[in-house]
This record gives sequence, structure tokens and C-alpha cells, in this order.
Amino acid sequence: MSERHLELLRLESEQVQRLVDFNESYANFCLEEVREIELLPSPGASPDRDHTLDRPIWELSSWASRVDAASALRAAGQWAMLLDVPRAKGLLTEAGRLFGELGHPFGLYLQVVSGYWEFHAPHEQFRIMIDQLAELHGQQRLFNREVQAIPPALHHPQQQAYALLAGASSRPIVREYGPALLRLAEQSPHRFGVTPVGALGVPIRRYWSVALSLLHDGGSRSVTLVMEHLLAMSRDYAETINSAMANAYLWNHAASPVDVGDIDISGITAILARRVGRDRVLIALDERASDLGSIGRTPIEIGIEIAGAEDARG
Amino acid sequence: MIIQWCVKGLALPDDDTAQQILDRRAGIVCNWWMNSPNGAITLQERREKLTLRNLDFHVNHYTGIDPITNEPFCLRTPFISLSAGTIERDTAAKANFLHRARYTALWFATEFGRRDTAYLFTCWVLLGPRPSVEIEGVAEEIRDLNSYRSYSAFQTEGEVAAKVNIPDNQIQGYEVWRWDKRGLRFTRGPIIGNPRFTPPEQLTNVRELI
Repeated sequence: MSERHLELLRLESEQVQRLVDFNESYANFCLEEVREIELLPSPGASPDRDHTLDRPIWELSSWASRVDAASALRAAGQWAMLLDVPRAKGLLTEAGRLFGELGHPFGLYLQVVSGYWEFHAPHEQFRIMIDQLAELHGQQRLFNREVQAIPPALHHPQQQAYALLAGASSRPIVREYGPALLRLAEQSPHRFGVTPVGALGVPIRRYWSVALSLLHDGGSRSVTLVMEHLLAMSRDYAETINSAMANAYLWNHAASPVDVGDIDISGITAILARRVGRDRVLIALDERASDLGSIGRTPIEIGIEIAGAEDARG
Repeated sequence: MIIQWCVKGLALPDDDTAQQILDRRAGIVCNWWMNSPNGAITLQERREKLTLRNLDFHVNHYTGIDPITNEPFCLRTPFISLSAGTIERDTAAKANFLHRARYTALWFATEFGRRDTAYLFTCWVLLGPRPSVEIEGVAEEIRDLNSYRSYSAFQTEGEVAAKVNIPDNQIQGYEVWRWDKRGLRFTRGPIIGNPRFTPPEQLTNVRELI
């Protein structure tokens, strides 16, 4: 199936392989850089100021290298989705772990998409995040010290969307914190919001609606609603990929600044397929996607493949 | 004016060629100048080449055939692409993606993953606050010209186009990066400095008291 996707996208597998290897190598370099920075004496810890960096630069360097590594692993994982799904899941899991350490709920979403967290999620981490989201939405009041512990990234609507989606997609989390998640999904102004999220700049209300559908039930109504959102996103995907292809030089070298492997469409599809079964998602796709070209179908089919790899692994 | 630090990734045959870029003291020149007969271009041509049409060709149809010359545009481009990444926590939180200039420069300098040695030159350029393609002395921030500009609301890969030549004294130096493809590791060599480099702080508009 991946060979066909590469053909549709007019990409050579060798080039995609090089890009995956490049990104993983670059991430490894950044992580070594983090270790080197952290081995430096902490500012103020050493009387010899000549060998220390001032704190803002020290912190910025460490943070920049971490986020650079997480971004490169994310890019490697997204490209690997086209080529080697098991490797993609490993890379996305590692990217998710790093983003999580940076306080980005996007990292939790990646870990749910890559499979493991759908069934074995860290309850305490999710509990804290759901409490923080509730605080930010005025649904609950935390102690001051807990408010101060809210990661700055969680103030951004984009991160809130991934936080809700990650929670709603993880079965053990829904079992334990379902009512709190539902309250967020039903009462947040984001359910009508237009803040752009993800590489495609999708209005946040779509993410909110997907999460709400997953929380309400895992039955046929979810498939229909979620598929409608996926199709809308896939039409945007096809349009923008076609535009990027116009620059043959960048496109053929896999250097266009676009997300060819779309982690939002493929990720939501994988979550849905695990929830209701791959066959039902495929049927829903075939029923509703008559006007969607082959390129538009690609990220959805990759998502089904990701869920399939999970099934195969058992 | 904005003083922008940039990285230029170059795929070069060997370390000597990289050193020659500093040693010949001519800076980094555009392909048009490099490919001109006898390495000569005229002042009049310089004005004629710096057009929005050519910048659009450079950004969106780099290897496409230019109907005026019947050659791939890249052979005669008067522009020099540079990477200028940004590091902002807010951007990272919105985009979940952040790459420094060196990431993009490295991908280009490995010739899109084909080479295992890359040369990254660090330089500074002046950026105009508004598009001003016809003014040779300032570089252009060209993200708005990308045909896929609507793809992402959070485009973080800052791309800058310098014009005709990046003067030698604006190049701080270069680094050699080696890629162990089997071990999935990069190693970065030390910065090889340019002794004629002029720090951009010289252009600061803060006047000190004496």
C-alpha cells in the first residue's frame, strides 16, 4: 500500500528513506547537544563564570535543542508513515515523549496515535493535564502552586485541542476521567472556535468535535461525524499537496516545507479505526469520498494502515 | 532595517573548496554570476535581473525552464537562498514544530541526503521591512511568495533570498558536518572563522555616551 502512496505522491522511496534517516540522525545530534549543554556547570553553581553560560542562554540552548530533536523525530516519523509503519510508530513515540517533557500535550497525542497509550496511559499525567485544562476553562479552581505548574504551552488553544483529543482517544483515560473530559468538550468555546491548528491550519472546532464524538460513543454515529471532518481535512490536504508539487525542485527532493505525512488526518483515522474497526472506516471512506481524489485519500489510508500494524502486533 | 543572521548550506566536493570560498575573498555569489562567461556581469544587467517575476521563479520554479533564456532558471538566478530559522516558544507551541536554520541548511547541503559531508556558512544580511526586490543591498524574506503559503499558518522555516552577492566580510565562517548514515549520527567540526569578518554590531544605532 505504501508503494502505491509514494507513486501517487510522485516520491521515490529512496528519497523518503534518506529523509527519515536524515531526520533521525539530526535528532540524535540535537539530543547529544542537550546532554553536552546539561553537563556544563549550571549558572551560579561555579565560581568560574568564564566557563558557564548565562542562564537565559543556557536554558534557551537546552530548550531549543530539545524542541529541535522532537521536531526532527516528528518529521522522521511522519515521513516513515509512507514507508515503514512500525518504524514510524517508534519515531512518533519518541517524539511524543520529548514533546511531553517540554510540556506540549501534542506529545500525548503522538503517543496515543502511535498505539501504546490507547490502552496503557499514564493516569496521573492525564489527571493533572485535565485538571489544568479545567482550570484554564474556568471549570475548576486549583491551588496557586498548581496554577503556577501549568505548562506555558497549555495556554495555547492548539495544545488544548491535542490534550482533549489525546484524552478522548485513550480508553483507560476515558473510563476514569470521561465526565471531566466530556464537560470540557461540551462547554469549551473551542467547540465553535476557528483558531488554526496543525499543518493544514484546520479550525479548532473540528478537533473539538472529533473528541466530542469519541467521548459520546464509539458506534456508528462517531464514524459518520469523524469521517466528515477527516474528509474536509483531506480535501485541504490534497489542494495544498498539489500546490507544493508545482515546485518540482523542492518536491522531488522532499524539501517542500509541507507535511506530506499528515499526523492529524492519519492519527485521527488510526484512533477511529482502532475504536470501531478498520473495515468500518474503510466502508465509511468509500461511501462518502467519491469526490476525494487519490491524493486526498492517502493520509486516511495511511491511518488505517497504522491501526492495522497495531492489530498485526496483537 | 533588520540585521538577520542566516545559514547557507553548500554541497561542495571537498574541504579545500569550502576553504577557497573564504580565501578568494569574493563572498558567496549567485549562480547567474558564477555561470556567466568569464565571470562577468554588468551593472545594467544587475538592475534588470532583480524583478518580482524572477524572485517568483526562484522560489516556485527553481529548476523550471525560463522562457526568456530557454534554460533552467536556477542556472541564471540572481538570488541566493539562505535559511533563517527562528526560535520562539510560542511558535513551537502553536506549530508543534520548530527547526533552526541549520536543519534546513543541512538538508540542502547534504544534497537532500545524498552526500555525507555538508558545509554550513554563517553570515548576516540586511532585510528590508517591506518587499523591495529591486534594491540589491537588502535581502528578501520570501515566505509570502511560496505557492503553498496557505499550507501552514505556522511556517517556521524562514527563507531569505540575498541578491547577487553576499560580501566576504559578512561571512563569519563555516562548519563541516559529517554524516554517519549507518550509525544515524552527525558530527560537527569546529567553526572555521573568516579573519575579515565584520560583526553586524557595527551597524547598531545605539550611540554610546563618552
